[in-house]
Amino acid sequence: MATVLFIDDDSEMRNLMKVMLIRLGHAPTLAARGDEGLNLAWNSRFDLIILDLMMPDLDGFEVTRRLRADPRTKDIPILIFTARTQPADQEGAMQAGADGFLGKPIEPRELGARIAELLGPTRRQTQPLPEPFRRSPEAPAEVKLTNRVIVTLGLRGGVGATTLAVNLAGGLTQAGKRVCLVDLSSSGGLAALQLGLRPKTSWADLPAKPDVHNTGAALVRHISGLFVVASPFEPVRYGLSRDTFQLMLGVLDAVFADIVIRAASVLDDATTLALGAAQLVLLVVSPEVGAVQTAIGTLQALPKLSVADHRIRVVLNHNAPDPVLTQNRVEKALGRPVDLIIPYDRAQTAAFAQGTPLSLSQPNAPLAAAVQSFIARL
Amino acid sequence: MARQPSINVDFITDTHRITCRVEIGATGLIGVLNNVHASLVDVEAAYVSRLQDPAKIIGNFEIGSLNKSNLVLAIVTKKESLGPQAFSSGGYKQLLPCPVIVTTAAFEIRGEVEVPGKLDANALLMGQGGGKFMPLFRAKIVATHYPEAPALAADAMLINRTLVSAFAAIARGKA
Repeated sequence: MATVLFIDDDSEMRNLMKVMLIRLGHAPTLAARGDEGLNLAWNSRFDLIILDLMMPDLDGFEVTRRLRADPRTKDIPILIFTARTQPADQEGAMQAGADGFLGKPIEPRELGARIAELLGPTRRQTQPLPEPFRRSPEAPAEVKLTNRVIVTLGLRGGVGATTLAVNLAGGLTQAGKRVCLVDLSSSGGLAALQLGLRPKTSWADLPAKPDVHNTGAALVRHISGLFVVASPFEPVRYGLSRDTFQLMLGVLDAVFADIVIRAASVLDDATTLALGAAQLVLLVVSPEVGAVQTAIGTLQALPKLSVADHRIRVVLNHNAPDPVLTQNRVEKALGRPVDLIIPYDRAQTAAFAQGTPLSLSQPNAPLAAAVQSFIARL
Repeated sequence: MARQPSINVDFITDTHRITCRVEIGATGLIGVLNNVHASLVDVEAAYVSRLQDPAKIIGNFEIGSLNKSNLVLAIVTKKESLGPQAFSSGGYKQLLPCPVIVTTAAFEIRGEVEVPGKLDANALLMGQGGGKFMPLFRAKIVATHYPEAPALAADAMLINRTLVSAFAAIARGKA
Protein backbone atom coordinates (compact mmCIF):
# COMPACT_ATOMS: atom_id res chain seq x y z
CA MET A 1 0.00 0.00 0.00
CA ALA A 2 1.30 3.42 -0.89
CA THR A 3 0.14 6.76 0.43
CA VAL A 4 -0.76 8.84 -2.61
CA LEU A 5 -1.56 12.53 -2.81
CA PHE A 6 -3.75 13.39 -5.79
CA ILE A 7 -4.14 17.04 -6.77
CA ASP A 8 -6.78 17.96 -9.32
CA ASP A 9 -9.37 20.73 -9.42
CA ASP A 10 -11.89 18.47 -11.17
CA SER A 11 -14.08 16.94 -8.44
CA GLU A 12 -15.29 14.12 -10.67
CA MET A 13 -11.72 13.21 -11.50
CA ARG A 14 -10.79 13.31 -7.82
CA ASN A 15 -13.59 10.91 -6.98
CA LEU A 16 -12.69 8.63 -9.85
CA MET A 17 -9.03 8.61 -8.94
CA LYS A 18 -9.89 7.94 -5.30
CA VAL A 19 -11.84 4.84 -6.30
CA MET A 20 -9.09 3.66 -8.65
CA LEU A 21 -6.35 4.17 -6.05
CA ILE A 22 -8.30 2.39 -3.32
CA ARG A 23 -9.00 -0.50 -5.67
CA LEU A 24 -5.32 -0.64 -6.43
CA GLY A 25 -4.71 -1.00 -2.69
CA HIS A 26 -3.38 2.49 -2.05
CA ALA A 27 -4.43 5.13 0.44
CA PRO A 28 -5.33 8.35 -1.40
CA THR A 29 -5.40 11.88 -0.07
CA LEU A 30 -7.15 14.41 -2.28
CA ALA A 31 -6.50 18.08 -2.86
CA ALA A 32 -8.53 20.41 -5.08
CA ARG A 33 -5.94 23.14 -5.57
CA GLY A 34 -2.24 23.44 -6.09
CA ASP A 35 -1.59 25.38 -2.88
CA GLU A 36 -3.70 22.96 -0.87
CA GLY A 37 -1.73 20.07 -2.35
CA LEU A 38 1.58 21.75 -1.54
CA ASN A 39 0.56 22.24 2.10
CA LEU A 40 -0.49 18.62 2.40
CA ALA A 41 2.70 17.42 0.74
CA TRP A 42 4.89 19.50 3.02
CA ASN A 43 3.09 18.61 6.22
CA SER A 44 2.32 14.93 5.72
CA ARG A 45 4.16 11.99 4.30
CA PHE A 46 3.37 10.56 0.87
CA ASP A 47 4.95 7.85 -1.22
CA LEU A 48 3.73 9.38 -4.47
CA ILE A 49 2.15 12.59 -5.72
CA ILE A 50 -0.13 12.58 -8.76
CA LEU A 51 -1.26 15.91 -10.14
CA ASP A 52 -2.99 17.57 -13.02
CA LEU A 53 -1.35 20.28 -15.10
CA MET A 54 -4.47 22.34 -15.59
CA MET A 55 -5.38 23.92 -12.27
CA PRO A 56 -6.39 27.49 -11.56
CA ASP A 57 -3.98 29.78 -9.66
CA LEU A 58 -1.08 27.35 -9.43
CA ASP A 59 -0.77 25.08 -12.43
CA GLY A 60 0.80 21.64 -12.29
CA PHE A 61 4.15 22.82 -13.67
CA GLU A 62 4.54 25.33 -10.85
CA VAL A 63 3.38 22.85 -8.20
CA THR A 64 5.95 20.35 -9.47
CA ARG A 65 8.71 22.96 -9.40
CA ARG A 66 7.87 23.92 -5.80
CA LEU A 67 7.71 20.29 -4.69
CA ARG A 68 11.13 19.67 -6.18
CA ALA A 69 12.58 22.81 -4.60
CA ASP A 70 11.55 21.83 -1.07
CA PRO A 71 13.76 19.34 0.82
CA ARG A 72 10.70 17.68 2.33
CA THR A 73 9.31 16.68 -1.05
CA LYS A 74 12.24 16.76 -3.43
CA ASP A 75 12.58 12.96 -3.48
CA ILE A 76 8.91 12.02 -3.71
CA PRO A 77 8.00 10.61 -7.14
CA ILE A 78 5.65 12.87 -9.09
CA LEU A 79 3.31 11.60 -11.77
CA ILE A 80 1.61 14.12 -14.04
CA PHE A 81 -1.92 13.11 -15.01
CA THR A 82 -3.41 15.50 -17.53
CA ALA A 83 -5.60 16.08 -20.55
CA ARG A 84 -2.83 18.20 -22.07
CA THR A 85 -1.03 15.45 -23.87
CA GLN A 86 1.08 17.27 -26.42
CA PRO A 87 4.78 16.35 -26.57
CA ALA A 88 5.51 19.90 -25.38
CA ASP A 89 3.45 19.27 -22.24
CA GLN A 90 5.37 16.12 -21.48
CA GLU A 91 8.67 17.83 -22.04
CA GLY A 92 7.62 20.75 -19.85
CA ALA A 93 6.52 18.42 -17.06
CA MET A 94 9.81 16.56 -17.10
CA GLN A 95 11.75 19.83 -17.08
CA ALA A 96 9.73 20.95 -14.05
CA GLY A 97 10.81 17.78 -12.24
CA ALA A 98 8.10 15.19 -12.83
CA ASP A 99 9.04 11.52 -12.95
CA GLY A 100 6.19 10.28 -15.11
CA PHE A 101 3.45 11.48 -17.43
CA LEU A 102 0.02 10.01 -18.11
CA GLY A 103 -2.65 11.35 -20.42
CA LYS A 104 -6.34 11.35 -19.61
CA PRO A 105 -8.39 9.25 -19.91
CA ILE A 106 -6.69 6.27 -18.38
CA GLU A 107 -7.35 2.63 -17.55
CA PRO A 108 -6.87 1.53 -13.92
CA ARG A 109 -4.44 -1.14 -15.03
CA GLU A 110 -2.21 1.41 -16.73
CA LEU A 111 -2.37 3.65 -13.70
CA GLY A 112 -1.40 0.73 -11.45
CA ALA A 113 1.54 -0.12 -13.68
CA ARG A 114 2.85 3.45 -13.65
CA ILE A 115 2.49 3.70 -9.88
CA ALA A 116 4.30 0.41 -9.39
CA GLU A 117 7.03 1.62 -11.72
CA LEU A 118 7.46 4.86 -9.79
CA LEU A 119 7.40 3.11 -6.42
CA GLY A 120 10.03 0.58 -7.30
CA PRO A 121 12.16 -0.68 -4.40
CA THR A 122 15.19 1.39 -5.28
CA ARG A 123 13.18 4.57 -5.41
CA ARG A 124 11.55 3.93 -2.06
CA GLN A 125 14.80 3.27 -0.30
CA THR A 126 16.11 6.65 -1.33
CA GLN A 127 13.39 8.42 0.60
CA PRO A 128 14.31 9.56 4.10
CA LEU A 129 12.15 8.38 6.93
CA PRO A 130 9.88 11.06 8.32
CA GLU A 131 10.76 12.60 11.62
CA PRO A 132 8.61 10.43 13.91
CA PHE A 133 10.40 7.31 12.75
CA ARG A 134 13.82 8.66 13.69
CA ARG A 135 12.87 9.02 17.33
CA SER A 136 14.12 6.52 19.81
CA PRO A 137 11.27 4.33 20.94
CA GLU A 138 12.68 4.61 24.43
CA ALA A 139 11.90 8.30 24.51
CA PRO A 140 8.64 8.86 22.70
CA ALA A 141 7.21 12.31 22.55
CA GLU A 142 3.65 13.10 23.49
CA VAL A 143 1.10 11.91 20.98
CA LYS A 144 -0.10 14.80 18.83
CA LEU A 145 -2.37 13.63 16.06
CA THR A 146 -3.95 15.86 13.47
CA ASN A 147 -6.88 13.67 12.55
CA ARG A 148 -9.79 12.24 14.51
CA VAL A 149 -9.28 9.25 16.81
CA ILE A 150 -12.33 7.53 18.28
CA VAL A 151 -11.92 4.74 20.81
CA THR A 152 -14.61 2.22 21.69
CA LEU A 153 -14.06 0.84 25.15
CA GLY A 154 -15.75 -2.04 26.91
CA LEU A 155 -13.70 -3.57 29.68
CA ARG A 156 -16.35 -6.20 30.19
CA GLY A 157 -16.33 -8.58 27.25
CA GLY A 158 -19.43 -9.07 25.16
CA VAL A 159 -20.95 -5.62 25.60
CA GLY A 160 -20.56 -4.82 21.89
CA ALA A 161 -17.52 -2.54 21.77
CA THR A 162 -16.23 -4.37 18.69
CA THR A 163 -19.61 -4.27 16.97
CA LEU A 164 -19.82 -0.55 17.63
CA ALA A 165 -16.26 0.03 16.37
CA VAL A 166 -16.87 -1.97 13.18
CA ASN A 167 -20.17 -0.27 12.40
CA LEU A 168 -18.83 3.15 13.27
CA ALA A 169 -15.81 2.66 11.00
CA GLY A 170 -18.07 1.24 8.29
CA GLY A 171 -20.47 4.16 8.58
CA LEU A 172 -17.68 6.71 8.38
CA THR A 173 -16.29 4.94 5.33
CA GLN A 174 -19.73 5.02 3.71
CA ALA A 175 -19.77 8.75 4.43
CA GLY A 176 -16.70 9.13 2.24
CA LYS A 177 -14.05 9.34 4.94
CA ARG A 178 -10.69 7.59 4.83
CA VAL A 179 -10.95 5.36 7.83
CA CYS A 180 -8.71 2.88 9.58
CA LEU A 181 -10.04 0.51 12.21
CA VAL A 182 -7.50 -0.77 14.73
CA ASP A 183 -8.39 -3.76 16.88
CA LEU A 184 -6.15 -3.67 19.96
CA SER A 185 -7.53 -6.83 21.52
CA SER A 186 -4.79 -9.23 22.55
CA SER A 187 -7.16 -12.13 23.08
CA GLY A 188 -8.44 -12.87 19.61
CA GLY A 189 -10.30 -9.73 18.58
CA LEU A 190 -13.27 -10.09 16.29
CA ALA A 191 -13.24 -6.88 14.23
CA ALA A 192 -11.79 -8.63 11.17
CA LEU A 193 -14.25 -11.49 11.54
CA GLN A 194 -17.17 -9.07 11.64
CA LEU A 195 -15.92 -7.64 8.36
CA GLY A 196 -15.52 -11.05 6.75
CA LEU A 197 -11.76 -10.58 6.53
CA ARG A 198 -9.17 -13.29 7.01
CA PRO A 199 -6.08 -11.19 7.59
CA LYS A 200 -2.68 -12.79 7.29
CA THR A 201 -1.08 -10.02 9.29
CA SER A 202 -1.88 -8.23 12.52
CA TRP A 203 -0.31 -5.66 14.80
CA ALA A 204 1.62 -8.52 16.39
CA ASP A 205 3.72 -8.71 13.20
CA LEU A 206 4.94 -5.13 13.53
CA PRO A 207 8.58 -4.57 14.41
CA ALA A 208 9.38 -2.55 17.53
CA LYS A 209 9.86 0.56 15.41
CA PRO A 210 7.34 0.33 12.59
CA ASP A 211 7.76 2.71 9.68
CA VAL A 212 5.36 3.58 6.91
CA HIS A 213 6.12 0.38 5.01
CA ASN A 214 5.76 -1.96 8.00
CA THR A 215 2.53 -0.27 8.97
CA GLY A 216 1.25 -0.41 5.42
CA ALA A 217 2.00 -4.13 5.31
CA ALA A 218 -0.07 -4.67 8.47
CA LEU A 219 -3.14 -3.05 6.92
CA VAL A 220 -5.92 -5.10 5.41
CA ARG A 221 -8.36 -3.45 3.05
CA HIS A 222 -12.07 -4.22 3.17
CA ILE A 223 -13.99 -4.04 -0.10
CA SER A 224 -15.81 -0.95 1.22
CA GLY A 225 -12.51 0.95 1.32
CA LEU A 226 -12.14 0.62 5.09
CA PHE A 227 -8.64 -0.34 6.22
CA VAL A 228 -8.10 -2.57 9.23
CA VAL A 229 -5.20 -3.32 11.52
CA ALA A 230 -6.34 -6.66 12.89
CA SER A 231 -5.60 -8.20 16.25
CA PRO A 232 -3.62 -11.45 16.27
CA PHE A 233 -5.75 -14.53 15.73
CA GLU A 234 -3.96 -16.39 18.47
CA PRO A 235 -4.19 -14.68 21.88
CA VAL A 236 -0.93 -13.13 23.05
CA ARG A 237 0.33 -12.39 26.55
CA TYR A 238 1.02 -8.73 25.95
CA GLY A 239 -0.63 -6.08 23.85
CA LEU A 240 1.20 -3.62 21.63
CA SER A 241 3.89 -1.65 23.40
CA ARG A 242 3.23 2.03 23.85
CA ASP A 243 6.18 3.03 21.68
CA THR A 244 5.31 0.72 18.82
CA PHE A 245 1.70 1.82 18.86
CA GLN A 246 2.70 5.45 18.96
CA LEU A 247 4.86 5.09 15.87
CA MET A 248 2.10 3.17 14.10
CA LEU A 249 -0.48 5.82 15.04
CA GLY A 250 1.79 8.49 13.60
CA VAL A 251 1.77 6.73 10.24
CA LEU A 252 -1.98 6.13 10.29
CA ASP A 253 -2.60 9.74 11.22
CA ALA A 254 -0.76 10.87 8.11
CA VAL A 255 -2.99 8.74 5.90
CA PHE A 256 -6.44 8.46 7.43
CA ALA A 257 -8.99 11.12 8.30
CA ASP A 258 -10.54 8.95 11.00
CA ILE A 259 -8.93 6.27 13.13
CA VAL A 260 -11.38 4.08 15.04
CA ILE A 261 -9.74 2.02 17.75
CA ARG A 262 -11.36 -0.92 19.42
CA ALA A 263 -9.52 -0.74 22.75
CA ALA A 264 -8.32 -3.89 24.44
CA SER A 265 -10.39 -5.27 27.31
CA VAL A 266 -7.62 -4.38 29.72
CA LEU A 267 -5.94 -1.05 30.27
CA ASP A 268 -2.69 -2.09 28.63
CA ASP A 269 -0.09 0.33 27.30
CA ALA A 270 -1.57 0.69 23.82
CA THR A 271 -5.10 1.17 25.12
CA THR A 272 -3.90 3.78 27.59
CA LEU A 273 -2.12 5.60 24.78
CA ALA A 274 -5.22 5.38 22.57
CA LEU A 275 -7.41 6.78 25.35
CA GLY A 276 -5.02 9.68 25.79
CA ALA A 277 -4.96 10.43 22.04
CA ALA A 278 -8.69 10.05 21.42
CA GLN A 279 -11.00 12.95 20.76
CA LEU A 280 -13.88 10.68 21.73
CA VAL A 281 -14.00 7.67 24.04
CA LEU A 282 -17.17 5.63 23.59
CA LEU A 283 -17.71 3.64 26.75
CA VAL A 284 -19.96 0.76 25.81
CA VAL A 285 -22.28 -0.74 28.37
CA SER A 286 -25.01 -3.33 27.99
CA PRO A 287 -28.11 -3.26 30.21
CA GLU A 288 -27.05 -5.89 32.71
CA VAL A 289 -25.60 -5.64 36.19
CA GLY A 290 -22.06 -6.85 35.49
CA ALA A 291 -21.56 -4.51 32.53
CA VAL A 292 -22.88 -1.54 34.49
CA GLN A 293 -20.58 -2.25 37.42
CA THR A 294 -17.58 -2.46 35.11
CA ALA A 295 -18.65 0.79 33.44
CA ILE A 296 -18.90 2.53 36.83
CA GLY A 297 -15.34 1.46 37.62
CA THR A 298 -14.15 2.50 34.17
CA LEU A 299 -15.68 5.95 34.55
CA GLN A 300 -13.75 6.33 37.79
CA ALA A 301 -10.51 5.17 36.15
CA LEU A 302 -10.65 7.29 32.99
CA PRO A 303 -9.88 10.67 34.63
CA LYS A 304 -6.76 9.10 36.14
CA LEU A 305 -5.70 8.25 32.58
CA SER A 306 -6.06 11.89 31.56
CA VAL A 307 -9.31 11.28 29.73
CA ALA A 308 -11.33 14.42 30.32
CA ASP A 309 -15.02 13.96 30.98
CA HIS A 310 -16.08 15.96 27.94
CA ARG A 311 -14.41 13.38 25.71
CA ILE A 312 -16.40 10.48 27.14
CA ARG A 313 -19.69 9.28 25.64
CA VAL A 314 -21.69 6.47 27.20
CA VAL A 315 -23.21 4.06 24.72
CA LEU A 316 -25.99 1.77 25.87
CA ASN A 317 -25.97 -1.25 23.62
CA HIS A 318 -29.03 -3.48 23.74
CA ASN A 319 -27.26 -6.64 22.74
CA ALA A 320 -30.08 -8.92 23.84
CA PRO A 321 -33.83 -8.76 23.16
CA ASP A 322 -34.85 -8.59 26.83
CA PRO A 323 -32.80 -6.04 28.79
CA VAL A 324 -32.29 -6.77 32.47
CA LEU A 325 -32.01 -3.08 33.34
CA THR A 326 -33.92 -0.13 31.99
CA GLN A 327 -32.17 2.91 30.58
CA ASN A 328 -33.15 4.91 33.67
CA ARG A 329 -31.56 2.38 35.99
CA VAL A 330 -28.39 2.32 33.94
CA GLU A 331 -28.18 6.11 33.93
CA LYS A 332 -28.90 6.28 37.64
CA ALA A 333 -26.21 3.72 38.38
CA LEU A 334 -23.66 5.49 36.20
CA GLY A 335 -24.62 8.90 37.50
CA ARG A 336 -24.75 10.34 33.99
CA PRO A 337 -27.02 10.21 30.96
CA VAL A 338 -26.57 7.79 28.12
CA ASP A 339 -25.34 9.56 24.98
CA LEU A 340 -26.19 6.91 22.42
CA ILE A 341 -28.68 4.06 22.53
CA ILE A 342 -28.17 1.17 20.17
CA PRO A 343 -31.42 -0.78 19.91
CA TYR A 344 -31.49 -4.54 19.82
CA ASP A 345 -31.20 -5.61 16.20
CA ARG A 346 -32.03 -9.17 15.30
CA ALA A 347 -30.16 -8.75 12.02
CA GLN A 348 -26.88 -8.27 13.90
CA THR A 349 -26.54 -12.01 14.60
CA ALA A 350 -26.66 -12.84 10.91
CA ALA A 351 -24.46 -9.87 10.03
CA PHE A 352 -21.84 -11.09 12.47
CA ALA A 353 -21.96 -14.63 11.12
CA GLN A 354 -21.79 -13.48 7.50
CA GLY A 355 -19.09 -10.87 8.04
CA THR A 356 -21.26 -8.09 6.66
CA PRO A 357 -21.58 -5.21 9.15
CA LEU A 358 -25.01 -3.63 9.15
CA SER A 359 -23.67 -0.13 8.55
CA LEU A 360 -22.29 -1.36 5.24
CA SER A 361 -24.89 -3.94 4.21
CA GLN A 362 -28.17 -2.70 5.73
CA PRO A 363 -27.85 1.02 6.51
CA ASN A 364 -31.55 1.20 7.40
CA ALA A 365 -31.35 -1.52 10.05
CA PRO A 366 -31.98 -0.15 13.57
CA LEU A 367 -28.39 -0.68 14.72
CA ALA A 368 -26.91 0.91 11.62
CA ALA A 369 -29.37 3.80 11.74
CA ALA A 370 -28.42 4.53 15.35
CA VAL A 371 -24.74 4.57 14.44
CA GLN A 372 -25.43 6.77 11.43
CA SER A 373 -27.32 9.28 13.53
CA PHE A 374 -24.39 9.36 15.93
CA ILE A 375 -21.97 9.94 13.04
CA ALA A 376 -24.16 12.78 11.83
CA ARG A 377 -23.80 14.43 15.25
CA LEU A 378 -20.01 14.06 15.34
CA MET B 1 -31.43 18.72 -17.97
CA ALA B 2 -29.06 15.77 -17.97
CA ARG B 3 -25.49 16.60 -18.91
CA GLN B 4 -23.99 15.19 -22.06
CA PRO B 5 -20.70 13.38 -21.79
CA SER B 6 -17.78 15.71 -22.22
CA ILE B 7 -14.31 15.24 -23.69
CA ASN B 8 -11.04 17.11 -23.55
CA VAL B 9 -10.20 19.02 -26.70
CA ASP B 10 -7.20 21.08 -27.75
CA PHE B 11 -8.57 23.92 -29.87
CA ILE B 12 -5.97 25.71 -31.96
CA THR B 13 -6.52 29.20 -33.33
CA ASP B 14 -4.02 31.22 -35.34
CA THR B 15 -2.50 32.53 -32.11
CA HIS B 16 -3.51 30.34 -29.19
CA ARG B 17 -3.97 26.83 -27.90
CA ILE B 18 -7.08 26.35 -25.73
CA THR B 19 -7.37 23.06 -23.85
CA CYS B 20 -10.88 22.59 -22.51
CA ARG B 21 -13.83 20.31 -22.02
CA VAL B 22 -16.67 20.17 -24.52
CA GLU B 23 -19.99 18.41 -24.12
CA ILE B 24 -20.66 16.09 -27.00
CA GLY B 25 -23.66 14.00 -27.87
CA ALA B 26 -23.94 10.88 -29.96
CA THR B 27 -22.63 12.75 -32.99
CA GLY B 28 -19.28 13.40 -31.32
CA LEU B 29 -17.14 16.48 -31.69
CA ILE B 30 -17.72 16.64 -35.43
CA GLY B 31 -21.45 16.89 -34.75
CA VAL B 32 -20.90 19.81 -32.41
CA LEU B 33 -18.54 21.72 -34.70
CA ASN B 34 -20.52 21.07 -37.87
CA ASN B 35 -23.84 22.04 -36.34
CA VAL B 36 -24.82 24.90 -38.65
CA HIS B 37 -27.34 26.23 -36.13
CA ALA B 38 -24.62 27.34 -33.71
CA SER B 39 -21.70 29.55 -34.63
CA LEU B 40 -20.16 29.23 -31.16
CA VAL B 41 -19.03 26.24 -29.21
CA ASP B 42 -19.49 26.23 -25.43
CA VAL B 43 -16.47 25.09 -23.46
CA GLU B 44 -15.62 24.50 -19.79
CA ALA B 45 -12.44 24.45 -17.71
CA ALA B 46 -10.38 26.07 -20.43
CA TYR B 47 -6.62 26.67 -20.18
CA VAL B 48 -4.95 28.97 -22.64
CA SER B 49 -1.40 28.94 -24.04
CA ARG B 50 0.29 30.98 -26.72
CA LEU B 51 1.47 29.12 -29.78
CA GLN B 52 5.08 30.20 -29.29
CA ASP B 53 5.13 28.31 -25.97
CA PRO B 54 2.28 25.79 -26.19
CA ALA B 55 3.09 24.10 -22.86
CA LYS B 56 2.98 27.27 -20.78
CA ILE B 57 -0.44 28.07 -19.35
CA ILE B 58 -1.08 31.81 -19.45
CA GLY B 59 -4.67 31.85 -18.24
CA ASN B 60 -7.78 29.90 -17.61
CA PHE B 61 -11.54 30.34 -17.48
CA GLU B 62 -14.35 28.19 -16.13
CA ILE B 63 -16.93 28.63 -18.87
CA GLY B 64 -16.66 30.30 -22.24
CA SER B 65 -17.53 30.25 -25.92
CA LEU B 66 -15.28 29.88 -28.92
CA ASN B 67 -16.06 31.22 -32.36
CA LYS B 68 -16.08 28.19 -34.65
CA SER B 69 -15.07 30.29 -37.66
CA ASN B 70 -11.74 31.13 -36.04
CA LEU B 71 -10.92 27.64 -34.85
CA VAL B 72 -8.35 26.10 -37.14
CA LEU B 73 -7.88 22.72 -35.47
CA ALA B 74 -9.61 20.64 -32.80
CA ILE B 75 -7.35 17.91 -31.46
CA VAL B 76 -8.68 14.96 -29.44
CA THR B 77 -6.88 12.12 -27.68
CA LYS B 78 -9.21 9.37 -28.86
CA LYS B 79 -10.22 8.92 -32.45
CA GLU B 80 -13.68 7.75 -31.37
CA SER B 81 -14.34 11.16 -29.82
CA LEU B 82 -14.63 12.68 -33.29
CA GLY B 83 -17.94 10.92 -33.79
CA PRO B 84 -19.36 8.41 -36.28
CA GLN B 85 -19.55 10.91 -39.13
CA ALA B 86 -15.77 11.12 -39.12
CA PHE B 87 -15.58 7.46 -40.07
CA SER B 88 -18.35 7.40 -42.62
CA SER B 89 -17.21 5.44 -45.66
CA GLY B 90 -20.12 6.39 -47.87
CA GLY B 91 -21.05 2.79 -48.46
CA TYR B 92 -17.53 1.65 -49.15
CA LYS B 93 -16.21 -1.17 -47.01
CA GLN B 94 -12.90 0.39 -46.16
CA LEU B 95 -11.33 3.81 -45.84
CA LEU B 96 -7.74 4.14 -46.94
CA PRO B 97 -5.23 6.52 -45.34
CA CYS B 98 -3.84 9.07 -47.72
CA PRO B 99 -0.87 11.29 -46.70
CA VAL B 100 -1.53 14.98 -47.21
CA ILE B 101 0.06 18.34 -46.58
CA VAL B 102 -2.23 21.14 -45.57
CA THR B 103 -1.42 24.78 -45.01
CA THR B 104 -3.44 27.50 -43.37
CA ALA B 105 -2.50 31.10 -42.59
CA ALA B 106 -0.64 29.98 -39.48
CA PHE B 107 0.12 26.25 -39.79
CA GLU B 108 1.83 23.64 -41.85
CA ILE B 109 0.25 20.27 -41.27
CA ARG B 110 1.36 16.87 -42.42
CA GLY B 111 -1.09 14.08 -41.74
CA GLU B 112 -3.48 11.61 -43.31
CA VAL B 113 -7.02 11.78 -44.53
CA GLU B 114 -9.06 8.62 -44.86
CA VAL B 115 -10.79 8.21 -48.21
CA PRO B 116 -12.70 5.40 -49.91
CA GLY B 117 -10.34 5.03 -52.87
CA LYS B 118 -8.65 7.81 -54.80
CA LEU B 119 -8.25 11.15 -53.04
CA ASP B 120 -10.48 13.84 -54.46
CA ALA B 121 -9.09 17.06 -52.98
CA ASN B 122 -11.86 19.22 -54.42
CA ALA B 123 -14.56 17.05 -52.92
CA LEU B 124 -12.81 17.05 -49.56
CA LEU B 125 -12.29 20.79 -49.44
CA MET B 126 -15.76 21.65 -50.67
CA GLY B 127 -17.21 19.43 -48.00
CA GLN B 128 -20.19 18.31 -50.07
CA GLY B 129 -22.62 19.29 -47.33
CA GLY B 130 -20.51 17.71 -44.62
CA GLY B 131 -19.85 20.94 -42.73
CA LYS B 132 -16.84 23.12 -42.02
CA PHE B 133 -14.73 20.62 -40.15
CA MET B 134 -13.19 17.47 -41.59
CA PRO B 135 -11.10 14.80 -39.90
CA LEU B 136 -7.36 14.44 -40.23
CA PHE B 137 -5.31 11.70 -38.61
CA ARG B 138 -1.76 11.09 -37.40
CA ALA B 139 -0.79 14.70 -37.95
CA LYS B 140 2.17 16.86 -37.08
CA ILE B 141 1.48 20.56 -36.86
CA VAL B 142 4.07 23.31 -37.10
CA ALA B 143 3.14 26.90 -36.32
CA THR B 144 4.46 28.78 -39.32
CA HIS B 145 5.31 31.92 -37.38
CA TYR B 146 7.05 29.97 -34.61
CA PRO B 147 8.91 27.15 -36.35
CA GLU B 148 11.26 26.78 -33.35
CA ALA B 149 8.36 26.12 -30.97
CA PRO B 150 7.57 22.47 -30.21
CA ALA B 151 5.39 20.96 -32.92
CA LEU B 152 1.92 19.81 -31.97
CA ALA B 153 0.86 16.25 -32.64
CA ALA B 154 -2.54 14.68 -33.15
CA ASP B 155 -3.64 11.10 -33.63
CA ALA B 156 -7.03 12.48 -34.51
CA MET B 157 -8.29 15.99 -35.12
CA LEU B 158 -10.68 18.12 -37.08
CA ILE B 159 -9.53 20.89 -39.39
CA ASN B 160 -11.57 23.86 -40.47
CA ARG B 161 -11.62 23.47 -44.25
CA THR B 162 -12.72 27.07 -44.79
CA LEU B 163 -9.35 28.19 -43.42
CA VAL B 164 -7.29 25.86 -45.59
CA SER B 165 -5.14 27.69 -48.12
CA ALA B 166 -3.40 24.71 -49.71
CA PHE B 167 -4.20 21.04 -49.70
CA ALA B 168 -2.21 18.38 -51.52
CA ALA B 169 -1.69 14.67 -51.48
CA ILE B 170 1.84 13.48 -50.86
CA ALA B 171 3.23 10.47 -52.58
CA ARG B 172 3.61 7.59 -50.10
CA GLY B 173 7.07 7.47 -48.58
CA LYS B 174 7.58 11.21 -48.99
CA ALA B 175 5.36 12.38 -46.14
